[in-house]
Amino acid sequence: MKKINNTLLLILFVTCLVVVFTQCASQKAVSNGDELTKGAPEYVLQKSGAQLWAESCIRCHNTASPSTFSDVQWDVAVTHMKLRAQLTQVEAEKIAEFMKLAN
Amino acid sequence: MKYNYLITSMALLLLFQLNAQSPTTSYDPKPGNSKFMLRGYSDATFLSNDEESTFGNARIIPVFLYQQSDKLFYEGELEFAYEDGEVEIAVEYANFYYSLAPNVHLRAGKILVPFGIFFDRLHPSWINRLPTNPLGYGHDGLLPTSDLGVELRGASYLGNMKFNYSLYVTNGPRIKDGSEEPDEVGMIVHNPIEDNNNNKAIGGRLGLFPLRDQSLELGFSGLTGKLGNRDSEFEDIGTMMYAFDWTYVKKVSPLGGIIDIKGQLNFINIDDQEYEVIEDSVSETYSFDNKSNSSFLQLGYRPTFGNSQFVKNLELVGRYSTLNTPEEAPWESESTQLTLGLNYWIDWRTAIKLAYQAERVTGGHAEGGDEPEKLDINTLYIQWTLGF
Repeated sequence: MKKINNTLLLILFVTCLVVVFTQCASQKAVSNGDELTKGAPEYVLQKSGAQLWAESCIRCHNTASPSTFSDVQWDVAVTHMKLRAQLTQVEAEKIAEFMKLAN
Repeated sequence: MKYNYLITSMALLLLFQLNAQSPTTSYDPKPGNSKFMLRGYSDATFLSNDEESTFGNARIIPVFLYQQSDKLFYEGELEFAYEDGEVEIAVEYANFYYSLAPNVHLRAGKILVPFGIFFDRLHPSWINRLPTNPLGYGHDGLLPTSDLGVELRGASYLGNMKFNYSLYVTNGPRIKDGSEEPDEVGMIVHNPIEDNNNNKAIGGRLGLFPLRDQSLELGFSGLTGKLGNRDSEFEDIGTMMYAFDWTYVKKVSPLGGIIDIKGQLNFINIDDQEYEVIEDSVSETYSFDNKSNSSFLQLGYRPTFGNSQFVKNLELVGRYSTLNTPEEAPWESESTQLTLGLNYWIDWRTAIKLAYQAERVTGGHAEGGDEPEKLDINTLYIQWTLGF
């Protein structure tokens, strides 16, 4: 068990480092350019905010009506879902934009 | 002097009147950088079985959200539950996020442990499609719910495939040594009141989206750590827990509706150990293979065909769940739970749920070759839930 624990610890630690460094590095590299779209596949960029809203929300709960919240509230609610439901930055930006247009 | 008073009074009246007529001129709609939002949910449940028929409880669970900046965010969930004439208050989670990069977020505080999907994502009653939790979950379950710690989480792309990830370090679970509850010796306890050792639990979850429409998510979770109290004979007892989860949600035209399939397999492995407990002044020794497992599979169907809004507001749900605890342990059991439900959605976050649950429990450490106790519990639930 001790050996397994140590191996798992090592794997998690290395994965953690790789993810943090690659993501932080990619953020630095795109700081002057299209920050949002960097790293996102083309098919994701082609999706509309409405499509991402329909795909993402329904995995856990019913899709929210855009009229539920104001623009400011959608900023908070979508940021919350980006963190909790693990949306990517591209998805969150597109969904927030759609909700604020459609409310 | 009276003239001055009159002029002043008239000026004030005029000012109030102008303000009353054009409120927008005195209201600044600019939101600022800091944003606060109160969300949450509430529910009330009626249940009926052979033992009781009662309005079981009522809860209000506010969730406080505070966005201080683009990088700093706070969330906290309090639970107020009224049950059996008492109000119980609990902090489900209370943590802040700091975004290190667009897809890398640091979370610290009391966090929901991302072991599988159920508790991290589906536990709020307006999200959970049934009024009950699968076996193994809940405040006294074998599976983790929330704990104090720190986590890195986010989502990104691996080539053309989206993935999400969580890596965390928490105080971790502990093990019951039998001194207080001899019948539960060797049982894992999550969310302990205090950290019982210097060891920290380490865990993570990786979720993959093999399909481009994100309809399918496959997840793997792991958690490891030491359980025993510091300086005790159980100090080196470790656990290795892992889980597989899956989610498939898609509108299927031939079926005329949205199907929702979710499930999770959990394995809880604890190092072998001999336990000696004193029960009714009699010393007893237990030695067992401390492995438990649990699972659930849930199917949901929500019709989208036809013109009837009433039909479209309905949802059929079924869930089968199992829980097996170690053989020869005093808390040995084999449990199954079948729950069938019909929901009516008043709007996207308000529902009335009707469910029937059949639970079969075979358990207890039988003495002298006696047959283990069998228990059948059939319960009807009606739950009203509202997300806000």
